[in-house]
Amino acid sequence: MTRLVVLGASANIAAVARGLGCEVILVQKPGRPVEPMVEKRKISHLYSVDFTAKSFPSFVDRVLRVLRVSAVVSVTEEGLLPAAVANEMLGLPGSPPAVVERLRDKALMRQALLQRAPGLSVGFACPRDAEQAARAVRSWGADHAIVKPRQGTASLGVRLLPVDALATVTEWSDLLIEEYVPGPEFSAESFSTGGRHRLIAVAEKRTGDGFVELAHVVPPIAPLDVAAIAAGITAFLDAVGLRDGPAHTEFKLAPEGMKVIESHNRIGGDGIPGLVRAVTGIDLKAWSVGWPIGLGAPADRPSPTAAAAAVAFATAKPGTVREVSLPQTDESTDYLWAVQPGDVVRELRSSADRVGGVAVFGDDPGSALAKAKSFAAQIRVVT
Amino acid sequence: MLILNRHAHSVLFDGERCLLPLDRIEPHLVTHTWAGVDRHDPRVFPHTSTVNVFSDEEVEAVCSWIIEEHGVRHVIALHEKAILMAARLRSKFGLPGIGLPTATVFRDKLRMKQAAQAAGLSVPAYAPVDSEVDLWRADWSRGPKVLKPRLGLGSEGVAVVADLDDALHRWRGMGQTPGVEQMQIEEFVSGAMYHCDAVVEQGRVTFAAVSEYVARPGDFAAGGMGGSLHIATGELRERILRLNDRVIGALGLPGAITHLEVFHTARDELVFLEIAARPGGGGIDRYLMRAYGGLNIFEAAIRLEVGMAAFDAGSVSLVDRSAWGVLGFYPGGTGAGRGGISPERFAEFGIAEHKHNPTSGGGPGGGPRHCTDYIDRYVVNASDRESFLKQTEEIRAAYAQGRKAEIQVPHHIATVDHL
Repeated sequence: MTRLVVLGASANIAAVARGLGCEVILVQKPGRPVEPMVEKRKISHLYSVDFTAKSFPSFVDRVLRVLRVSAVVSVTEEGLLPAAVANEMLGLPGSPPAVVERLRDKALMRQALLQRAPGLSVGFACPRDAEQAARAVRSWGADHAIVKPRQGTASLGVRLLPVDALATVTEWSDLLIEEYVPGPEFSAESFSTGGRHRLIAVAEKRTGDGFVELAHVVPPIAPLDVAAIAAGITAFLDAVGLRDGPAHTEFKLAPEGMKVIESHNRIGGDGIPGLVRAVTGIDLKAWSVGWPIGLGAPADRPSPTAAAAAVAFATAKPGTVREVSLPQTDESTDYLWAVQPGDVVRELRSSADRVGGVAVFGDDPGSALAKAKSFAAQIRVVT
Repeated sequence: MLILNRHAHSVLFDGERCLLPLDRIEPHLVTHTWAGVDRHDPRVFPHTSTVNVFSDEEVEAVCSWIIEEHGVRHVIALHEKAILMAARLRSKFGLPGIGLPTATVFRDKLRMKQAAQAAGLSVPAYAPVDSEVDLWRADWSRGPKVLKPRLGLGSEGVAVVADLDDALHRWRGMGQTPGVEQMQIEEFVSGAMYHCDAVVEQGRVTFAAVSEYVARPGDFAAGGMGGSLHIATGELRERILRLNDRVIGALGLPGAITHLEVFHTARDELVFLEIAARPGGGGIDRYLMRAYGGLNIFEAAIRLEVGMAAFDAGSVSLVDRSAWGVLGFYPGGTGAGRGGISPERFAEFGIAEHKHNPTSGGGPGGGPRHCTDYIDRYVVNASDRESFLKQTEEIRAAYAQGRKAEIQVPHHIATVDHL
């Protein structure tokens, strides 16, 4: 029996994994729900284990090895490296830890690009202090810089600071500065098999005043040279050494060409896989979970269900939610979610601070995005 | 504390109250998905694993990892099938409680009888069965015998065999099953069956209650009924209590909850059948709680395991001398629907509690898998034994009638463990 271990699964990913027809073993962080995650009245494995802790390798060695598992996967950021470590320990297929670490750590990713595909990168530095940071920014001929955690996700802690304001940053040990590239941002959803990279779709994103993503649309509204992007993605993935599995690569288009912002060896978040599935017919979730055991790959001729798809998010003032009103959506809506009364809304600093979202399908990306944004604007959250 | 659970999750609660001393321990729960995580709260049990409880290799691997990784100091098992594994883990890691040698005596019916016999107790004539030759060797002139797994429980896999041909037929049938357990054969003892549920602390019995089986556990069948009735007084009760003391002394038990079964023959003899080092199942705990003013044998088992006294007050006493007992109905059978008694009639029948178990069944013909695999269980009270037995027949009839009428028990009743 093929046994697939999934680290940090959502209920949706657990269902996707079970839909592949293999035996699924869930490893969830302690304190996470158990009852809704298991299949009742049958053998259904779930282990409460902190897979980000130092003790995880011993769990792999003493428990997963005994279970004779076939592969370990994760589609969550914090589960990617533990999955890679587990696969390496057990001699199973999967991206090596070094590759995952190179993608998680933006400084390592930039160093790899500098050596193998410098045209895809931007100026960067890991300064020890504000003075060193300011010198680096000036050396790029810039007066602003992006300051971000080396291993951050979901836009958390990402700031665009004028060079004079770098002095306000006091702790530099885990920070990276990057040259700021103006203009719209995109993400490339790709899948690699044996070192061959396939660009599945490109999503165009919208952000608010900061860097928190407030909408995505597939395909992009902006006219793009898809072949050039595919070539750029191939060069990038080769440079970081990713040979198998999904990648979600965020990039911008500078006058001199594509610039990679960051990348992860997983599917994109924010419901992007749903947009991609509608527009391409390819189920990235199933493929991402099942590829190490030869399952979940798309049909030779996948069947798209929409020409375009978009998701947009709502925001609200910080405070405790008192009232929520939802828009009257139509048949083009895929799903709608919102916070509930009693939930706490924080200041918008990361994707987790958004208060609702709506995904729609449409005949073209412009109208799909407009409708999604319109519906999202009608998610009214009173705090 | 590592809790190795093979009961429903609700066994760890009395209503909404968790039986674990959560102020003293960090629980690590290893359980299953046959009601093992029903109404599971991750805030109470943040460390929970659902495993293949049928695989000793897997259970031992994950439990060993938890014990070492989290510095677990106590292992508890409340279900007979988990007793040996818990003991193995205690022995392996030098943890307090019943170790493997003692647990084996309490699990292996053959070794248990050898120990009891050595202490001068009366036991049914018995012998191990490792091959057909052992069946041929048995003295069939003495009447029917019982063929059973040495490590069995809940009367699972037990067969009463009339003669050698019958025994050979059963044996060959079992032989076709891979991994068939070690078996034994023993003399069939006719007579009423009683059980004695006790608390043993520091080698001494500090509490014991005697009950009479309403039906022999070995007779469990689809559509049938089982249960027990508490015996509050009487000379027979005293004799069973003394027997219980002797058995526990003979088998050597430092501290645990025990469940002893004994025959009372037509010749007024007490014949020891077996004893388990865990609380009795099938709702015994629920009526003992009524009779003994809040005594909870599952909670006592947990407390003993972590080195606490079995009871807060140090001891418990009989507070209600009326007849308390439990009646359980098995799934399957010829009736239509799942049967049941309308809650409006509970008072009429002296029903104090009802529990519906949607995970029961799975045995032959959709029937029970073991003798406490009840689909509906009622804790019943009557003024005395005779009234209890009369009510038993009335409840049996009403349940059968409900089965025919396919009474739909309201959802809130069906999911509430204790009224």
